[in-house]
Amino acid sequence: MKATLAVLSDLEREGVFRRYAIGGAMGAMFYVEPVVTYDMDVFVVLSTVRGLLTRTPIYEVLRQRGYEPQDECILIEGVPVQFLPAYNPLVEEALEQARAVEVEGVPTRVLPLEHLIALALQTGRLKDRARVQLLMAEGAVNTGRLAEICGRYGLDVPAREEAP
Amino acid sequence: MRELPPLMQLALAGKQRRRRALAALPYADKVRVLLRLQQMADAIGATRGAPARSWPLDPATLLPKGTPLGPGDHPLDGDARLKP
Repeated sequence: MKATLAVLSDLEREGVFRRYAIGGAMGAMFYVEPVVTYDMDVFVVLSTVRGLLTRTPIYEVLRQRGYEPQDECILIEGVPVQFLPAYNPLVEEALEQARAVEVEGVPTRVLPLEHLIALALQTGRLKDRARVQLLMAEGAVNTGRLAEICGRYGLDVPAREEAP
Repeated sequence: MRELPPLMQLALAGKQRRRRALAALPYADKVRVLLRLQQMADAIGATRGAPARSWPLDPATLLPKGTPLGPGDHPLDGDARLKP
């Protein structure tokens, strides 16, 4: 995990992508109790190739370093990482406002709690809805901030309730 | 909603305390809990022939198992330095 984060920082420093932050369940774990997951969602601002968003340059660099794709992820130092491009303005904003954190001395970034909730609302699968419930019940949510983000992106502000 | 019996209320309050304590752990410790959860899920999955999916990380170092440690990298080094 620490080695995985170090590789991600290297890739950013080398310009393979412009900015990264942890999202999904691994991102949520910065704010609430651990929940089972098997991959790490990493949101990235990708460089465009002939106007197209592509993960190919990331995969090429990682392959050169001996990291192999595994289904939709790429295995980096034992952790399957799924790179997700900043595919809409909400993700772009979340990445821009990502928080700098450290994991046992290794610097990294995590999406802000309110953006994690908004993104899960926007994605809207069953597991995303469960994550919204958990983050709302257990996270230290800035409700004013969340309402402001939801308002701008046409999302319904979730209610606070007991954790599922 | 119907009121729960006192024993159940106590049990649920205990669960709530437990999840708050887990939420307050440092992130690296949460990753260690995650590794345990993955192993538990693997054990259940194995009973129906599902392949193991837990990450091959050493819970002490959070590095891939078998990674050679450099000086100062061992998790007990900090404690060892405190000893005379």
